[in-house]
Amino acid sequence: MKKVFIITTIFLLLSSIFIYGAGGGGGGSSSKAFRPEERSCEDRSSIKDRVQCRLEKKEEGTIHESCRVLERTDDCATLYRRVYSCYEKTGKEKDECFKQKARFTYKTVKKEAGVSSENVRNYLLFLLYDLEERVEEAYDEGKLTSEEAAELISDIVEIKQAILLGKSKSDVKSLLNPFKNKWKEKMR
Amino acid sequence: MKKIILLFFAIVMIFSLFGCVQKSNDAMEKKGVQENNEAEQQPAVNLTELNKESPEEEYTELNTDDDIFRNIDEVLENL
Repeated sequence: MKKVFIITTIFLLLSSIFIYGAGGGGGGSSSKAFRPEERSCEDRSSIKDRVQCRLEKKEEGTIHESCRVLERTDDCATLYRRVYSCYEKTGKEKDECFKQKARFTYKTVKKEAGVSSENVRNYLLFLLYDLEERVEEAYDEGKLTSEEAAELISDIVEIKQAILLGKSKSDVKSLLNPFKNKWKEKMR
Repeated sequence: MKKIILLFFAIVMIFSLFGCVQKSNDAMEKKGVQENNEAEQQPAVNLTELNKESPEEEYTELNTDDDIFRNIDEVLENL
């Protein structure tokens, strides 16, 4: 009788450990305890390293890189979530979609700039995010190495961070001009 | 002796129940995030408002890299 009790107890203990392990996977801390050798891409210190790691491991980041510089990351993440569906479109439809999601009142940037610079800045973020998508595509097609792709993406992220932080036009331009040259060199 | 075994048995049961509850919480959380994403995909601006403009003011093409860079330059000129 005693033996039956002990065997049942051991069996239950083992099965409960299994259930606990499976349940804790979403939170991260429990899975780390089971696989201590795996280092998350999020732990890397630079933008480029994190991006390169994610490209190679085909992982999604927990938070948009450009949003990390902001205190309220939720609003920033919501902005990007809002525009995701536009990236499936092409041509004028894509532009229309971007402008809708940026809450434009007018069709053109020139007119909208007179009404809301925030909307125009959001539109600029969406355009830059489009470039980011193109870099990822080029990497998937083998046209770029993970290092080259990570370098271009981290440059785009830095420009987006400057926009989100409300930096001046000249600051944004000073980041954009060298990036354009890099783009010509790597993407054409 | 019997009491100790029963107590141990009870602890193990509670532990396994805790695992099940946590798993179900994770599933609920995932569902909540999905619903939130769907809600945010609603159009932000009324299309008829945008169409009030004169016909010569059109949306721009966004196909090639050059199209995107041209639009970026336009934004920076007007910021």
